[in-house]
Amino acid sequence: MLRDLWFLWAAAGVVTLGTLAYTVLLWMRQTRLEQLVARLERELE
Amino acid sequence: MREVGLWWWRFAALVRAEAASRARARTGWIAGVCFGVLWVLVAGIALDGTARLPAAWWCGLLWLGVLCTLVPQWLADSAGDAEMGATSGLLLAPLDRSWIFYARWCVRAGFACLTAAAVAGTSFIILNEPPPRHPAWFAAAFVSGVVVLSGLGTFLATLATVSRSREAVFPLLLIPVALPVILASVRLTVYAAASYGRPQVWWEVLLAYFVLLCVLPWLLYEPALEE
Amino acid sequence: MEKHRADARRRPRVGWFLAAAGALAAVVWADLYLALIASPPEENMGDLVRIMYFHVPCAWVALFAFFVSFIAAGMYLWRRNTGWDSLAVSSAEIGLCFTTLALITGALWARPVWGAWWTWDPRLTTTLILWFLYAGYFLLRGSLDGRERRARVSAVYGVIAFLDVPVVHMSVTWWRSIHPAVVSSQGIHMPPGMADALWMGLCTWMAVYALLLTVRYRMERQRERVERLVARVRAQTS
Repeated sequence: MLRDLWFLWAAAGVVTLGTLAYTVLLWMRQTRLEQLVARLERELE
Repeated sequence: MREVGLWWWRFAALVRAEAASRARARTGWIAGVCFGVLWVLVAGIALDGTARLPAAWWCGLLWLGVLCTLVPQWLADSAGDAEMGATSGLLLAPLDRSWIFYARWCVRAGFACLTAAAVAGTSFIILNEPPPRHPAWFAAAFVSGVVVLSGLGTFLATLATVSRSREAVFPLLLIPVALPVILASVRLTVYAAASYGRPQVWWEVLLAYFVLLCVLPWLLYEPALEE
Repeated sequence: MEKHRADARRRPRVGWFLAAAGALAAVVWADLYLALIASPPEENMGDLVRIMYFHVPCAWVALFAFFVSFIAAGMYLWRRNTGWDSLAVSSAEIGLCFTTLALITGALWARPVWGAWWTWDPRLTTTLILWFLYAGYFLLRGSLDGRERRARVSAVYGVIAFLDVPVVHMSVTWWRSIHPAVVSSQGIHMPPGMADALWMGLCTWMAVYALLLTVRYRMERQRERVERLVARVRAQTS
């Protein structure tokens, strides 16, 4: 029973935490790109 | 009537040009045959110099050997396209660009059959395999598998040509796409060698790929060739 | 002044994202409650059946994402509008992530039920091949120079990769499958309490996919903007 629950928690954790991690990663990439755009635009002006 | 004649003539010219360029690019297919034969040798040694393999194993090893023969040839062709502009002459042909694919497929399938046959012959001898039970079926399965594989290889090598690291990317593009073809070829040769299994569905797989290869390049080869 | 303008441009996006993410978080909590607590255990598998409420939606979302990517690739080849290419790559990336999750959760289910992390089951094998097809797509994409060329060549491969999926699937289906079929032409094979949890899971993860796709798509557009700006800066300095 406990062993079953371990597999269940692992699966639920992988999916929810994995998706969360991917979202955060995307958000970080997006923020960095926006900063880069702002810097490049400043340089061009 | 005259138009049809002209069209055939143009296509034949394309095939001739491609065959001449393949024959000149010797390194590719000589290296291919050497790799294939070497693979058979290594497989024999890795299996402890076995005297006799089960038919399914022998056929699996045979098709891995065929892949080892064909992949270096496709890579060499792709390098020739990228570095020496082997395609640029063909682009001038007054035909739809997809015909370049069909011409190349014809020529490369011919070369692939010859080189793969060399590997098959060697593996019969080195791995002590008895002659197949149905020789005609064996030849048909072998040639069909190689023809379909070389169609896939020709198409994907064109895609990989523009890649910065085509040697690394090409096998990864090819193998997942070609997996059912390899599977079907193995099953069909196993049936021909030992009357084992159901060949019908695997002929259908090969046919499905053949039809895809006849139709898809007509839609997709031109964008793949654009500069 | 300029910084202030840039901030003002950025703020509504943060607000929009946080609102959508907050609403989604509530839906995900509801889904977790339904999947982990409210739905009934199965008579043979017990609580292990709950893994299915994560595994099946991941697999379906992945296939849907690849389908979107295929349509976008076809549209790019037809219209040559880079927006379609951005959509194709965004959807394929999310599809690859969800395929990975489906493979991992599948293995976590298979170990206690079948006694092995991996078996040569057609469904498993085809999913792994699908993963490699799209891994190849990203490697090819990463090794191509030039915006237009990268979009064109990867669109051609995107179409081939997706069309290969049914062929791959059919070819290995002729091996006997031990993978359970949840939905077939005869309908859903499970009691209503479990079916509700499954549908809820599917809707939740579809919504997550939609949010991720929006964020990823905007990011891809932003990246293109960076590439254009870098080219302009280079032209100015040289």
